[in-house]
Amino acid sequence: MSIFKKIRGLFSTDLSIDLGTANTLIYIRDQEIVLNEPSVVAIRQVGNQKTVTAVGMDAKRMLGRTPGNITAIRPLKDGVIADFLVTEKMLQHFISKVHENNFIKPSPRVLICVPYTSTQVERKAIKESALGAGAREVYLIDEPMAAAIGAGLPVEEATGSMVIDIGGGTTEIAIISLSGIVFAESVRVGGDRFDEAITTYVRRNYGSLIGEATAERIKEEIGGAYPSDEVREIDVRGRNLAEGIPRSFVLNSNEVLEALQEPLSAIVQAVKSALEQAPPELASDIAETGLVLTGGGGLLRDFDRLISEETGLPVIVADDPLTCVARGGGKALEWIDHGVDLTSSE
Amino acid sequence: MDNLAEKIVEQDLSPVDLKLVAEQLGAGELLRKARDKAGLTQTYIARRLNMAESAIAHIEAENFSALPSATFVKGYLKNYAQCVGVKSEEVLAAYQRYLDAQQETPKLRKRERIKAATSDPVMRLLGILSVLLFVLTSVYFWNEQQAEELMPATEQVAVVEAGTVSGKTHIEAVDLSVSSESAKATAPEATLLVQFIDSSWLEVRDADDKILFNGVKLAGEEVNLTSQSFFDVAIGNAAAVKLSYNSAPVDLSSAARSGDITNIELGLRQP
Repeated sequence: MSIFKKIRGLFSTDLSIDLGTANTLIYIRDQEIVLNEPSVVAIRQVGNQKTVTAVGMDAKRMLGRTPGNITAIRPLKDGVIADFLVTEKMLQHFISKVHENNFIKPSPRVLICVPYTSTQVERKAIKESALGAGAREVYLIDEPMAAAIGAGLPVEEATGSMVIDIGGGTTEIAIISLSGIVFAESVRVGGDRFDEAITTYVRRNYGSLIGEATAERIKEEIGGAYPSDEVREIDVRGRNLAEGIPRSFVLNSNEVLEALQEPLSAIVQAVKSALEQAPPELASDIAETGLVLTGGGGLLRDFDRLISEETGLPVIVADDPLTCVARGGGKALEWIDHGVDLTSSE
Repeated sequence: MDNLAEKIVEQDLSPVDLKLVAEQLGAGELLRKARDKAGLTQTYIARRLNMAESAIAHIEAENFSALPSATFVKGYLKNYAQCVGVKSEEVLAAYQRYLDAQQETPKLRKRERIKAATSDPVMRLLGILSVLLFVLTSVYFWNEQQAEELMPATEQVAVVEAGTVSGKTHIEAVDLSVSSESAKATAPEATLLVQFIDSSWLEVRDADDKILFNGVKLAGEEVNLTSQSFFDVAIGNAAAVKLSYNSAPVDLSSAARSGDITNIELGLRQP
């Protein structure tokens, strides 16, 4: 490690980064979530030269609205890096953004959450891109472990806890006991798949094309995972495929529920199969305490109810589910200094 | 109390009521009232939330120690509140009060420990800087001291070799060791005889820095002084003077050079 990095390290703070498909969250040690921005980078191409024009919130606003020479891209797919260089640029931008003094280039210790099922190559790529973005040291932690810590589960105790982390790209289901993952499963279904399902449904039933942003808005406002008595409605505008002109129509929550059936059942199936494979002692612990939902998917209305009905177990949604992973990573980083290492090897 | 609980259930609360609720009702009681109001049984709630009936009973009795950790209890309360149509924030606030009351002392201790273990990065930086400053100043002063100790020594050597370059010469009474020893042996008294070949200025001090003689003498004159074995002699024109310490002649030829003041210490500086 170069001496310059060490000196720069004195002027940097330890960070925990939840590098998600949909959103990147940064938690500063002993503080709060300091950054929560979409993982989107807008790149302008002039001739053969590519430059980053916007990152995060600004870039997301450009998504689907860009002219020919600008492309707004999501450098992560299914929780792993799809575009190495762009991820590095994005991390660089976010790391310098959370350091207020720009006098000295920050060089923090960074803990990054990676999907449990990601391959060695994918982990290496994430580590390298963080180092390239100026990190002094990079630790990796399994996402479900971070989620469980962030949700406040007793991970170090000899009781089984089950956590379901529904992110943008992946859903991670894990059974944790004695600071280790006993069983984990990762399905590449997440919030993004919900959006896609809604887009597909609208195209098929209304003959209209809607964008990603609109689909997400529909999901957030009237989306639900379990039939409810109250039917909510939303006005949607999309381009009619037959006429080729923008048309406005009304969607209700029952239709959205129908649209979401497929990805929802995929997650429920994964949960069931995880429970099937749980060792009996841990299964009985889980039956007593229940499952914990974290991640942005936990915010989908009545998702806990759906899983509870399907499994016959109590299901609770963690406090502030969206930031669980980042907060848990921050706690794990603190524990490293106290000699408890929950990070995973490369 | 009952009146308040009804208001909560109907979500018809003024800020004053809210404050009262916050101070009076426990989470379990709040939920039980709401359940009664809705006409539901514990069994129904248990089945709806897929929980054991005993767990529901524990919640309503506020017997939280029989339930899993606080994280789970919070989740259960939230679900229960949703089930009976009460605002979950109020129930959770009530539970938080219970937690605070329960864990007042351990919580405080924990916070102190955390404070001690982790520190503000700014403070850490300041600490490092102050240690650096301390080290640098001590190194600086140490060097200064070394220089001060070295300087006179080198000067002395140089002067003795090259004569009175700076005008101030220290000659240790090395060659007088015999006589000074004899002086010590006989008595504390020592004598100094200064004979003037030519006119010169002379100053003589004793061990206490007291001036024994100060003035100009002409050729042929002489000064006889007595002191306690030590003389600090300053001569204006060393070439014009002959010194005798305890009747032994002192060789001034190496130090003497006209035009400079010559400083000679004779004998040992004793208290």
